[in-house]
Amino acid sequence: MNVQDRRRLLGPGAAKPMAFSNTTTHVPEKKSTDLTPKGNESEQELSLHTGFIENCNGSALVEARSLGHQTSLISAVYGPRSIRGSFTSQGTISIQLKNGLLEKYNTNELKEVSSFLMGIFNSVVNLSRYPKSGIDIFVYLTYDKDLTNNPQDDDSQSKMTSSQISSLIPHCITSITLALADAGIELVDMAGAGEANGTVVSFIKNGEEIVGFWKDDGDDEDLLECLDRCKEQYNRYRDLMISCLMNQET
Amino acid sequence: MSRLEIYSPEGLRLDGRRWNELRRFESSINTHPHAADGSSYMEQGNNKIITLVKGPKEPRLKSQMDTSKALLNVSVNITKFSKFERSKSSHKNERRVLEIQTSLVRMFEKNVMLNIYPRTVIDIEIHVLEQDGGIMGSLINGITLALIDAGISMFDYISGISVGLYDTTPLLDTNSLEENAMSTVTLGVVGKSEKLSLLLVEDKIPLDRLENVLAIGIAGAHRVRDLMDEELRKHAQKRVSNASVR
Amino acid sequence: MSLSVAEKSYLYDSLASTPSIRPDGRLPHQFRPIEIFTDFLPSSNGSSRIIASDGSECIVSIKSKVVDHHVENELLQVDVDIAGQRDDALVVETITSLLNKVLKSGSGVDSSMLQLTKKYSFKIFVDVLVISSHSHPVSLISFAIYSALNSTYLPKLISAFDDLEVEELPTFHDYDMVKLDINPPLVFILAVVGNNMLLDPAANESEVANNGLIISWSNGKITSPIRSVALNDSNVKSFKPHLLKQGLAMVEKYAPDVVRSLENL
Repeated sequence: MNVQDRRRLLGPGAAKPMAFSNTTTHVPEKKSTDLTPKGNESEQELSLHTGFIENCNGSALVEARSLGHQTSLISAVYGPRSIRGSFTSQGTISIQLKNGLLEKYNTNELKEVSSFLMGIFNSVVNLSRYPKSGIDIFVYLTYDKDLTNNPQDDDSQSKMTSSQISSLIPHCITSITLALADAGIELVDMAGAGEANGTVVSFIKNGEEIVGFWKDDGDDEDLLECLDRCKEQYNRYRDLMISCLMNQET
Repeated sequence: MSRLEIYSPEGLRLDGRRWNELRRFESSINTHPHAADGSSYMEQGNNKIITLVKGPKEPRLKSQMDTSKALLNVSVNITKFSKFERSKSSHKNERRVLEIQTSLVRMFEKNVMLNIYPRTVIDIEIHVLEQDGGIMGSLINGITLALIDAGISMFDYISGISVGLYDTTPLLDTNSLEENAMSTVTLGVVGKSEKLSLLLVEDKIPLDRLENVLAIGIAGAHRVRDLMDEELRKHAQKRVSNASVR
Repeated sequence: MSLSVAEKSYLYDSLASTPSIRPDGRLPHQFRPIEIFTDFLPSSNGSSRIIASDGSECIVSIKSKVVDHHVENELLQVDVDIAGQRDDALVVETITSLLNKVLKSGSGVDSSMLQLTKKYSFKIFVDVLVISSHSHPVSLISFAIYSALNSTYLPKLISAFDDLEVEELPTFHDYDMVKLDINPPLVFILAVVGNNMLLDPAANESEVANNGLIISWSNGKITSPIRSVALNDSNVKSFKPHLLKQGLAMVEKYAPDVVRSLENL
C-alpha cells in the first residue's frame, strides 16, 4: 500500500515512491466465512468478512443473526502509524465506537464500551513491537435491531438497551481481532468473547486466561455458569475467526 | 420588582447587615497541598470557592512558552450545583465565564511579577462550589490567597469587593438578592492604596454617586485585605511553630 | 506519576510476591485513610467532600427536583466533572456511564423511596466534582456519593398521597425535612498484580498493575456492574479466572466493614 506520509519531506517532485515487486498487485481478496454453529441452543448465525475496505490497513465485518436479533458491525484498523510528539517506547491504541443510522446507544455508554475494549486490546496487542506509533481502530455499528421486540413498549425498550450493549461487545471484540489480524498487527493471541445473561467475558489462550470482564445485570450467583457459557461461545467464535483467516490465506 | 425590603428605613439590609458591613469572611490557605503548589479555600457569605494555583511550571506545549515572562491561565469552573436552582448545562465555555476569565487574567498579569518567571506557565484553577452574589470579588480574593500560598511574587494584595447602589445609599458586599435588585460595581483594589486594578460596572449608575460608591468599596476592600493578611500571618505562624518543633 | 523502568520492575516484583509487599506497608485488603465531611453546602439537599491520603479529592452535591415519574423513569442522575478534563473526555464519560449504571433504579437503588405521590417523585441529581485524583477515582467517588446520599434531607410532603384524581401539585412543610434512606451501592476497585489482588490501589500500584476490577456492592451482596478495567496502558495483561473469584471473595469479606465505617460518620 502506498500511503504518502504528509508529515515528511517528500523529496523532488519527480520522485516516485518505492514499490516492491511482490506487494504491488496484492489486493486482499474478499473472503467470507458463513457458518452456523452446531450447538443449536442459541441458533446464532455468524458471518465474517475481512479486508474489504481498501484505504485502511485492516478491516472486518461481523454479521450476527439469531432468531430475535440481528447485528452487523464494521471495524477498521489504521496503523501502526507514526505519532507526533515525544518518543514512546510502545504503541498506543485508540478505539472509537460509532452509532450507525440507528442512534440507539448514547455516547456515554459507547465511550464506556470503547474504553473497556481498549483495556482488552492493550493486553492483547504486542505493543512493545510498535514504539512511537499509534494504532487507531474504528468500530461502526451499522445495524443492530431487535426483530421481535415491540417498539411501543417503552419501558422494556429502555431496559433492553443495557443488556443489548453487552450482547454487542463479543461481536466488537471478534471484529477488532479480525481487523487487527488482517492489518498484520502482532497479537499475543486471538481475543474472543462470549456473552451470557448480560455478562461478557473475553478470553485468550484457549480460555485459560481472562482479558476482559463486563457484567451489567444480576449479582454474582450465576457467575460460574456464565463463565462456562462464555467460554463455550468464545471457543466457537475463535474457531470461526481462525477458519475465516485461513480461508483468506489460500 | 420584588416585594422584598432591600434596605429598611431603620438602615438594615435583608440579612441584617448595615450598609457598610461585610459578610462573614473566612479564608484558609494551603488547603490542597498535594493537588497544587498553592491553594486557598474561602467563604465570603455564602460564596464558597476553592482556588488552586499550579506553577510556575514548564508549559506542556513549546508554543505556549514566552521567553520573557510567565504565561498566566485562569480557568473558572462554576459548578452546576453552585446556585440554589441546579443549572442543566455546564458553565464551561459559557461566554460569561470566558469574560470573567479574561478579565481576571488581565488583572493579575499586571500585579504578578511575571517577568521573574520566564519560560513558565502559571495555571489558576477555580471551583465555585456555591455562589451568592459578588462572585467576581470573591474570585479575586481567592486567587490572591492562592498565589501567595504558591509563593509567587506579587506587588501587593489584590482584594475584591462589590458595592451596590440602592437609591442613594451604597451597600457594601452585596449578596445575590441585592445584586438582582440594584446596580452593582465590583472593585479590585491594590493593597492598602487607593489604586484600582479592576472596576467593573455592568449596570447604569449615576456619575455623581460613583464617588461615594468607590469610597465605601475601597474601604471595604481594605478591610478584606486586612482579614486576608491576618489569616496568612496566622497560617505562617502555625507553620513556623510546627517547623521549629521538628 | 511516571516511574522509571527499574522502579516499575521493583514495585511489580514486590507486589507480585507472596505475600505481597505494598510500598506503603498496607495489607492486600487495607484501604488508605480517607477523610469525609458532609453537609457543607446549604443550597444543596446533601453534600460531601472526601479526601484521600494522597490528596485525591472529590466533592459531591445532591440536589432534588419534583418530577412526574410517568414521564421520567430514571430518578437518579449522575454527572461527573473532573478538573482538567473536558466534559466529553473518555474518562469522564466512562465514569459517568458506569456510575449511572451503579445507581440505576431497580438493581442499585430502590426508587420507590423517592416516590412522593401517585404521580410525582423526587428526582435526585448527583453532581460529582473531582478536584484532583491520582489513581482511578471511581471508588472514591462512590464513597462520596454514599456519604452524600446518606446525609441528604428532602422536604417533607404535607399534601395527600393520592393525587391521580385531584389536580394538585405536592406541597411541602416549611422547614421539616425527611432523611433520605436509599442505601446506595458502593464501588470497589481492585488491582490484579501477578497472582495477587490488592484493594484500593494507589497511583504507583496502579501503574504496574496487570489489570483491575471494578466491583459494586449493594445491600450486603455483590451486584452488577462488575468490570475489568485497565489501570494503565503499558502493563495490561490477561489474568487467570480464579483471580476473579478471589477478588469477589475479597470484596465480599471486607465490604461490610467499609459500609459500617461509612455509616458511622
